[in-house]
Amino acid sequence: MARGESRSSKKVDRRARAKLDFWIEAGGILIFCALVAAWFIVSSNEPLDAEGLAIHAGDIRSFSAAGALLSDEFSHGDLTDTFFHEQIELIDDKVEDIGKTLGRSDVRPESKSDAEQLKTFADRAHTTFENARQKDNIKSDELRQLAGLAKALEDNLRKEAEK
Amino acid sequence: MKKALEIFLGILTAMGGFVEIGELVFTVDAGAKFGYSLLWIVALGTIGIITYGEMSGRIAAVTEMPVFFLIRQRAGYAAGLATLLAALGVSLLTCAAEIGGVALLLKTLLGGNYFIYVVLALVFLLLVVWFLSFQAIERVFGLLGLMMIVFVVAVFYFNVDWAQVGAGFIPNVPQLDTSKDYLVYAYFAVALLSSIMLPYETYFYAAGALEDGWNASDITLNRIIVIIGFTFGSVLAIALVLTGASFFKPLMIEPQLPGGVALAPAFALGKWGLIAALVGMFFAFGGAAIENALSGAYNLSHFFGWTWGKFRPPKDAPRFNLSWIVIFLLATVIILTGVDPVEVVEYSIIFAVVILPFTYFPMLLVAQDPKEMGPFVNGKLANILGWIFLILVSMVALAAIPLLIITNGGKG
Repeated sequence: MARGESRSSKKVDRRARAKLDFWIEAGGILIFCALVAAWFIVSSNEPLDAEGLAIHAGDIRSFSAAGALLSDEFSHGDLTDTFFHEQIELIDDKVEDIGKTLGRSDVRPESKSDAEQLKTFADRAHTTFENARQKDNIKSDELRQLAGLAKALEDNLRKEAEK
Repeated sequence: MKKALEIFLGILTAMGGFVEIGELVFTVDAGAKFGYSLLWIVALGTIGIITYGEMSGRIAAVTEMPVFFLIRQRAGYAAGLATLLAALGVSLLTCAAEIGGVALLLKTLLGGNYFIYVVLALVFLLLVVWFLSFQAIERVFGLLGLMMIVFVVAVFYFNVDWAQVGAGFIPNVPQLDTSKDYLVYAYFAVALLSSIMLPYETYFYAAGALEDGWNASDITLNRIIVIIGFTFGSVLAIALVLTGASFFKPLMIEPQLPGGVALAPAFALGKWGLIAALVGMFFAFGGAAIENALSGAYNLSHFFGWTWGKFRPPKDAPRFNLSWIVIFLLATVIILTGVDPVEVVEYSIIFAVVILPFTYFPMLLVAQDPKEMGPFVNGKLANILGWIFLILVSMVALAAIPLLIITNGGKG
């Protein structure tokens, strides 16, 4: 009888332990997810600084350069019409989003002029892509120049952020 | 002759199924950001996935037990359940990203509305999994995914610095401009390793071995397929790094869209290069979406002891079949919210690395247990590599989330 009781109490202990382990692990995962979500919310509401602007500058640099490459390959007959137009549309949407983000985000006072310059680049790229969507023609030189300007600004911003 | 054909097709399938949207994005971006310096991570990850892929196939063949049954048996119900939930989360996110990738490719190939293609992709994948056998799915998607070989061919048209390529295979940290750049380098190293060693690959591979009815006589077949198939698959991953380094980097482009990556073979091989790349990606992403949905269903069934298997008629394994359908539906809902599939896959890959140790540890315990494995127990090399990679992925798992946060998802 006593042995039977001790066996069943051991079983209960094991079950209780497994339940506790599960809740500890589930709690750990939930806390971890909450921390990631909190980081995401906090970082997306923080005013833009040199580091955040450098990321946008890098995106504008990359999208502008990709637009120039698309244009070159399209004029050489290496792309299908559909691919060219759809790719331009996708890139344009991304560039437009960057412009909107720059327009509505708070910016740290010391980075205001950089943010304005970057917004100009984003708007110029958006205009170029929008024209391309309508006219089948893309000013690749302008995009290449924009990519170069964005790259220079990105490098400066990264150095500034490093300080 | 039949065996030889099986081996040949198995190798090609493993090779064609090696790259998915996450690996595509991270390998090309790694090259575009850091040149050839991260090639050693591709080599390291390939050895890692060969080690654990071979182990999972061998365990399945010998014990006829699936991975999640072993995880539950070795880690206990509670820890096993936590691993299962995390693995399901990662599979769901990866499946969502792959469906988004398929839709983006259809849009760039055919034109039209992205969201309509998301729904069409869902319908297509549901029909494929419902009507095709496991082997047919593996073969069709694996073999057509091989069209991505155009990336390997295209590399020879670029200005590749082969001496630097050789140097890139030796573990190194390049000279970078800022301290943040070193953290971004570390982030890419972690992400690349994770994208090559994604946990679903071992779940799916082991489940496939069981679906195909492997037994101890298939151990050699398993070894050949894993070693040759994954090695050839890594050639594709290496070609993608070289594409990033030698084609996109000088142009200051870090492709953020799957279609953008196809500009490289288009430059080298013209319109047909472009189309082959897009079609290859379509089947590679579609195959990965299926593998993730099925992996989720296998894992759930193996953990809870449900009847499972594509080899059974759906009415005989209702919960298994319902599971993959639900995973596909949830993944589609995620993508229909408008999130960028590339961003989704970046998160899923980083979260995937966190569950790698929980997947590999029970597998290693079983593979080195003579009571379970008999004469097919791990040899010295498998044990040494197994422990080295377990320690490595555990360290990487600890670093993954902090790196994700500090580097703003690798953007600097």
